[in-house]
Amino acid sequence: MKLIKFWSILAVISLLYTGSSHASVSELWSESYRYEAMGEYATAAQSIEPLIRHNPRHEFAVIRHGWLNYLQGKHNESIDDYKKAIEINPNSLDSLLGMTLPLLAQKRWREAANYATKVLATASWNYFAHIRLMTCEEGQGQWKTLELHADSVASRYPADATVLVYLARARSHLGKTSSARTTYKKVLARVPGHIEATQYLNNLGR
Amino acid sequence: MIRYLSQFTLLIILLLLSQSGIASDDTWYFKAKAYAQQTNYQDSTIRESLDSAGLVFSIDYLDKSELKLGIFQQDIKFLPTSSITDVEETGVLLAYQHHFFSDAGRFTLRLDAYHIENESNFIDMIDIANPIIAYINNTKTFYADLGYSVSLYRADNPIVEDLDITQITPTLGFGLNDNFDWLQLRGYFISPSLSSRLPDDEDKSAVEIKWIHWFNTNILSIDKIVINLLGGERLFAVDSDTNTVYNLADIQTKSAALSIDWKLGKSTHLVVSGGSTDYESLLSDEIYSSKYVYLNISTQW
Repeated sequence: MKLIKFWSILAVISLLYTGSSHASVSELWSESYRYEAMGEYATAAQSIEPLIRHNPRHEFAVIRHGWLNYLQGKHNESIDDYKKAIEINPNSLDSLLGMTLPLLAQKRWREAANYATKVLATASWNYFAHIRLMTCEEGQGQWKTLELHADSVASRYPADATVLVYLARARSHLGKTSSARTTYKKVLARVPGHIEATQYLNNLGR
Repeated sequence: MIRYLSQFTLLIILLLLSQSGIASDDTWYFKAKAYAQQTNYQDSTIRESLDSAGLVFSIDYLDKSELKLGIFQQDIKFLPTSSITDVEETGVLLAYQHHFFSDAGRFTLRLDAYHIENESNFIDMIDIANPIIAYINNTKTFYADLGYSVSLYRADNPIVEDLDITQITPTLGFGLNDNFDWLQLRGYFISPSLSSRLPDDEDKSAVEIKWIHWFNTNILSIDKIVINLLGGERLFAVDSDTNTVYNLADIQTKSAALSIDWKLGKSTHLVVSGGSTDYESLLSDEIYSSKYVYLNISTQW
C-alpha cells in the first residue's frame, strides 16, 4: 500500500513538473515570436537562450538564434550559430540556407554561393537557394551567368517577379535593352508599380 | 617591342594552358594575368625606353584569402650617346592576404614581397617587403588602408653603398553613385637612407588620385574605366594596387593615366592603358617625361 502511495505521489509530481516545463518552454517560444514581431530581435534571441543553455544541441533553437542574430546585424554571431546548426544536422537545408543570409550581408559572395550550391545539390529547384545564388552572381558582376541562370529559374517559377527582376538586370547590363524591357514589363504585370521596373521603362520612354 | 609582344603571346599561351589542367571547385578560385608594357622617354639625354612583361597567378580560397605569385622581366634601354649599358631585370612577386570579417566590415592583412635582380654593375638586387592593413565597410562605400614598405637596394660591388627606402602609404577610398564610382586618395611618404647613390636623403611625398567608373549598361563591352593622377615627388615607389616597383633613380613629379577594362566572355578581362609621367633627374637638372602603353589580359576559373 505504501509503495502504491509512493508511486502515485511520484507520478503526480512528475506530471506537474512536466506540465509546468512544457508551459514554460512554450512561453519562451511565444515570447520570442512576440518580441520578433515587435522588432525587438535582441530580446527575442534572449528569450530562447535558456533552451540553448539547457541543451546546446537544440537544433531549432540554434537555427532561430542564428536568424535573430542576423536580424540584429550580428552577422558573425549568426554565422557561428548556423555553423553549429549544420554541425548538429548536416542534412539541414534550413541551416544551409540560413547561413547564406549573414554571408550575403557581409558580401561574401563566394562563400554564400558555396552554401546555396550545397542546397541545390540536394534540392535542385529550391527557390530560395536559386535566389541567393543569383544575388551572389549579381554581386560578382557575373551578368552572363546570371542571365542564363535567371532564365532557367524563371521557366520553373513563371509567376515569380523576383527572378524576372534578376533576369532583367542581367539583360540590361549585357546591353540587351529590348529583352530587358520585355522582362521588366513582365515584372510590372506581376507587381504593378514595381519601382525598379517602372524607372527602367520610364528611362527608356517605355 | 616585337620581342615583348612575342613574350606576351607566350605568356597568354601559358595562361591558357594553365587553365586546362586545374579545375576550380566552389572553394578555390584561380586567376591568371599576362601583361606587357612599352615606355618611351622624351627629352632625356640618357634614357631611351623601358619594356616589360609579366605573368601573375593567384589562388583564392573563397572570400577569405589569396596567394599570388608573379614573375616579370623588364629591359631598360639607354641612348647610345649616353654610353650607359642597357639593363635587363627579372623579378618575382609573392603576396598573401587574409580577410577577417566583422559586423562593421572586412579587415585585410596583406604582405607583398618582391625580389628583383639585374645585370647592371650598379644595382644587383632589390628586396622589398610591403605589409598592408586594410578595411572596407560592408556596403563598400568606405575604404582605408595603411601600407608600409621597405626596399633594400644592394650591389655586389663593395664601392656602391647600400640604399634603403621606406615608404608609408595611407589610403582612403569612397564608393559613390551606388558604387558605380570609386574615388581613392593615396599619400606616398618616402624616406631614403643616406647613401652615396643619392645626392640627398630628403624625404619625398606625393598624392595619387584614382577614379574608377563601372558601367551600368553595356557600352562596347567596357566594364570600367580608371583615371589616375599623381602630383608631388615620388622616388623608388612601390604601388601596391598594381604591384609595380618604380626603381628608376629619378623623381616622378607628375603622372596621368587612363585605363579601359573590357570584359570578354564570362570571366576574361582585357585592359589597355596609356599614360604619361614627368621626371626630374636626381643627378642633373634634367626634366624629362615618359609615355607608356600597357596591355593585360586576365582570366579566372
